[in-house]
Amino acid sequence: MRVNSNYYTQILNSINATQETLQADTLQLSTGRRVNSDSDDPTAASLEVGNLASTADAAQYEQNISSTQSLLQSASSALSSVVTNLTSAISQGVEAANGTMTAAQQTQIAATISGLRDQIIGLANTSVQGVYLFGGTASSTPPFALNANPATGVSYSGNNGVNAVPVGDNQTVQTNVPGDQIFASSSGNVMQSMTDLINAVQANSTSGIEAATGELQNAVNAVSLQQEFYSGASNQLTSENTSLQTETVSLKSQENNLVGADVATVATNMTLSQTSEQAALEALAKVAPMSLLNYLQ
Amino acid sequence: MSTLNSIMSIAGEALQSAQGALNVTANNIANSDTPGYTREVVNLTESPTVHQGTLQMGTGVSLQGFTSVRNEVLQLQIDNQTQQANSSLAQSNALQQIETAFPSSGGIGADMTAFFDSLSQLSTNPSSTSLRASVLSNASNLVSDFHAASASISQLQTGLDETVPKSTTEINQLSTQIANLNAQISSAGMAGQDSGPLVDQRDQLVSELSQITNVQTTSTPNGVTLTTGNGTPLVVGNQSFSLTSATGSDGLQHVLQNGQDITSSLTGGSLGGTLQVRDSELPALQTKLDTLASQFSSAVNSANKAGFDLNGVAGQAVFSTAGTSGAAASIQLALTSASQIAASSDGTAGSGGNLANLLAVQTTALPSGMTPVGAYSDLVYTVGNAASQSQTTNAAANAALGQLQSQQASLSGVSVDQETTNMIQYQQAYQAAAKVVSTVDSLYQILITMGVTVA
Repeated sequence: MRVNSNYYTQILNSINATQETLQADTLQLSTGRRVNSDSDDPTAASLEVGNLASTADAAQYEQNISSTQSLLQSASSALSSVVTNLTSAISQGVEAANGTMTAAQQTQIAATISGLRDQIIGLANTSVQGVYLFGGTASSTPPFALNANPATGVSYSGNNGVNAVPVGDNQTVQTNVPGDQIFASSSGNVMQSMTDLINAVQANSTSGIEAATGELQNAVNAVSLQQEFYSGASNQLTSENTSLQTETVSLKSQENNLVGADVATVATNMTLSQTSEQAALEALAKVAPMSLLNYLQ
Repeated sequence: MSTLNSIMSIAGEALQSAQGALNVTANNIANSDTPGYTREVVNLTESPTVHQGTLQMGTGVSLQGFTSVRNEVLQLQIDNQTQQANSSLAQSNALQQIETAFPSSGGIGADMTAFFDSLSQLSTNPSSTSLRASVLSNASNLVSDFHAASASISQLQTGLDETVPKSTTEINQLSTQIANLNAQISSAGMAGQDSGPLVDQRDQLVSELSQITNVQTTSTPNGVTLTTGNGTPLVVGNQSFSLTSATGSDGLQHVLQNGQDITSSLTGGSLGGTLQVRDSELPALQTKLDTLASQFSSAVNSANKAGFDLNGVAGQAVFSTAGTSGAAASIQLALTSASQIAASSDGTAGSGGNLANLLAVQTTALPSGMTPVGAYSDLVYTVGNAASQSQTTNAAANAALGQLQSQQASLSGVSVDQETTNMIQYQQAYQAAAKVVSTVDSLYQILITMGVTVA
């Protein structure tokens, strides 16, 4: 059989092919990625789109959790201060009801309780970055104000709207309880009971004071119950955060499996390519000077 | 009866034949690196014998001519593979350019996610001006990337379109040259001349034509007949038929012959590959991109319209597009202020109730059946798969082409070693024939001195 004596082209092709492989391998090592363009692995590239979206979403959920946590904590600590104030008001009421008080002392106690009510109103108007935590979704103005008009002595200008924050795929956490449900609940009306106590002390009515302290006790229970909501939500966020961190790690590892370079294999392949390129070059060097003419001189 | 004259005549033929053979050898060596050159061999035959009584005597050698060592079938296969290789190369080059507009990390996919994530963040404080501004800026980034992706498709399409008239001109030039060569080969063949170099040139030109378009070759007594597409003639005998290009109703260049549009039948060569990407891959991609832009914006728009903005005003469209076709190029941000993001479900500034509706767009299937990010992921797959397929086809066609070319080179290529061996062989034959001449000459001298008349 006649052979193709133009082997230069073949050797050149083989050297070119090896260099192409080397270049691709170098790119993989320098980027750390196996898939450097969509066509390298169309399936992996398209799956990476979804993977990166989930990773970005998870990072956002974690950020949402962290900002929501601080809101929940502010609300929770405001409510525990309210409970403290309510408890002080109860002791003031008990003191006022023991019947040995002078009129001046009664006035003094009424003023103290009224001060406590002011503090409670202040706490009910707690705001974080301009957002009033207990105004429902009407959260841009203070929801509670002293007002002689309603029987409770305190008016509520908020609404009963609630907000929710996404903290996972299809998962949201309610971030607020409308203020009237906390401070003007039928099971324990904070504002009403404080106003009742002030009125009873001013009227020096022992039975009125006793009734009002009873109402206050109910109010303490009602507020504590709502405080449970905030700490419950906070706990939920903490556990959600943990699972998001796990998810992020697993997404990262998935991404690496999809498009990451197998550094050890690539490095080994490069060594093989280098060897084969050297072999091709040596073959060229050996074959090139071969000609019959060299032997006929 | 053999005579000195007849011996002299045999020696003369032998010298001529050896010279002719050396001529072929020299020509082969000279053209050993000429593209398209087919090696030639010398055709030597025995001269007819003469009978004298019972004696039968040879009358020497006769130089019949030179033959090019070629295999027409192999040449046809090479032309075929060339058409495939060049078509897939043109496709792969074009599609690689478009791949960068649809990256798996970043691009429209990442923009959409960033847009939804900023809405998600807005739900932590729906009245925050800075969080609202971030939503608006992400929406604006998305709009820019839709524009960029759409522009890179249309720019590539324009770039490919511009090569069509150039290719048409090249095809016409080659057709004319091949028709001329057909005429020359045909007249040379009749005169009994060696038409090897002319056929080499013609084969070379047909190969060049195969690089541009799909060509069917038929050999006829009047030379090769070449057709392209579905039998559109390019060359018949000594006549060539030109193609023209003209702008069609779609604004793109179409290839015509005698007013008949043959664009869709051109599938091979660089022109075929270019047309395939221009008329099939890119429009399909553009449609997918436009569908995504249009369906995404209308989903976001209706979600925004379901709520109230920061000032309690009913929400309006976030994006505007001029129809589905061309949506990716025409999409614009319709909101002028971040306050217009309708986060609220009850009209109060602090409500984030409608954000759930806006965020639902992220996880709800669009009319295309895919979520927005899913639709982008599909685009990435479509682009990557098309590019990858053309690369694979190209690699396979190149491998086959290399194999065929190597076969052709082993048959038709010049081996300098072989020619050197031939040269020595013919040189010795020449020397021996020359020796015969000088021997016969010395015999004449003997006869002349003997006074014998030469018979």
